[in-house]
Amino acid sequence: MKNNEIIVVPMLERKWSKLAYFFFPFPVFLVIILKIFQLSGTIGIEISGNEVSEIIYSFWAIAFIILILTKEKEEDEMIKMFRLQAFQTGFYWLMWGLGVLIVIHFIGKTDFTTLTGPPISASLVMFLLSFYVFVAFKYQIWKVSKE
Amino acid sequence: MKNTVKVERAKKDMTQQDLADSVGVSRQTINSIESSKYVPSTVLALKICKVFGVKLDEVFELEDGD
Repeated sequence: MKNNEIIVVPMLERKWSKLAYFFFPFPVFLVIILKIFQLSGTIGIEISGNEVSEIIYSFWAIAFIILILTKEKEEDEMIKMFRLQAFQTGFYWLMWGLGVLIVIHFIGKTDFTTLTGPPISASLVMFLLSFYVFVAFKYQIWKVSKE
Repeated sequence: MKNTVKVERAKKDMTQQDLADSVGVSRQTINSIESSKYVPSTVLALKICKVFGVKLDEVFELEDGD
């Protein structure tokens, strides 16, 4: 049974993983440089804690997405099945994690406590989802490679 | 699911890599099948049996709980 092209997920060649690894340290250096500019007053940049988080989450989300969509050395049915399961498992973990954050935010809005959680943004959600999927995928591969 | 892929492979004097190349998967997949860590698709199971020249139920067997 062949799938329609609209639901086929395109995979990236392995060379793209180098770009992904670059995106992990890059936002850290970027934030440091921006902070130096801010402190020196060279350029009128105001960077707050939330903005630092957003920058880092965004780049790390892109990095993990690239790694998820990059082909393995040998793409066969077992790897494809693992990737499919990883997306399902990652989404399931995300549901629970975000659910906890939503409850914390809801409780934080009441007058009974000062409990707060990290702001739920698109970049945070993308980072968490892509990270969970990546971990679930690599975990399955690790399990079968234990001989 | 139980299988006798390793036994059949030994009868044919094939390595895991030989079998993997014959059916178009990785050696890791063949190893996972033999150690029952991965259940192959119907197509892959049929390809493996075709290489060995045996019937499907001579190699793969359902277990209680499957």
